[in-house]
Amino acid sequence: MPALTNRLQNIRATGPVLEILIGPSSTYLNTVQPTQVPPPVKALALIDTGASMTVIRTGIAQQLGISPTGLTNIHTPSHAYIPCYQYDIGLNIPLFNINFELVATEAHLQGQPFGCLIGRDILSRAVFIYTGYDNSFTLAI
Amino acid sequence: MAEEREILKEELETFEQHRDKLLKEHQGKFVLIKGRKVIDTFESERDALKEGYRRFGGEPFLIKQVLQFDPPLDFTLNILGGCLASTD
Repeated sequence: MPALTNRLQNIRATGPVLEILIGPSSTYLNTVQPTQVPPPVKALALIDTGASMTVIRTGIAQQLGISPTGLTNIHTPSHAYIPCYQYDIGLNIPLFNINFELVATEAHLQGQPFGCLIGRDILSRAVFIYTGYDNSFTLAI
Repeated sequence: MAEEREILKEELETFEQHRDKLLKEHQGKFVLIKGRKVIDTFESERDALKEGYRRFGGEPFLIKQVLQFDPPLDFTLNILGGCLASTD
């Protein structure tokens, strides 16, 4: 299980963030074989142990030209039963050169710089260590 | 935007209409639905997605796990306001 430590300027301010690339899943690409494949969307992702599933910002799926494959309800501290579409995506973490194929939930990440929340669906395959005094986090996948 | 919000609405209604029967015969599996038609059930979500792409290409279709109650998707960050609701 390769591990990588990412040191940030101020992890308290930003949270544990890293750059990712979001594209259509390989299942979609290999089966549908679209004539045009848009480039992957680069996004800042927050590793969020409070998110039960990975979330992508509204608009990313449209940039990728993919259609929803699910519709679900999510709950936040202030809202319940918010309907959100789900999309089959490929998520690449360049730091690890690792790809995930997963169904992510689409939501507005209002007023935040993140394009993605990496949720417990991905973390279920990983070890995540938050080292606040060192402004770093370690992810082993 | 109103049209966008209709995507998969028909499929979700179809799932609810067939939920009891699906629960009896295919609990825990993943069902593929297009429009008013239940296409098939699969052991894995990935298999269901693959069949959906094979049959319908890039068109929307619904994949849903057959469960009595949908598992809650919780987010402790309160930055998710909106989704489809914001277009109201």
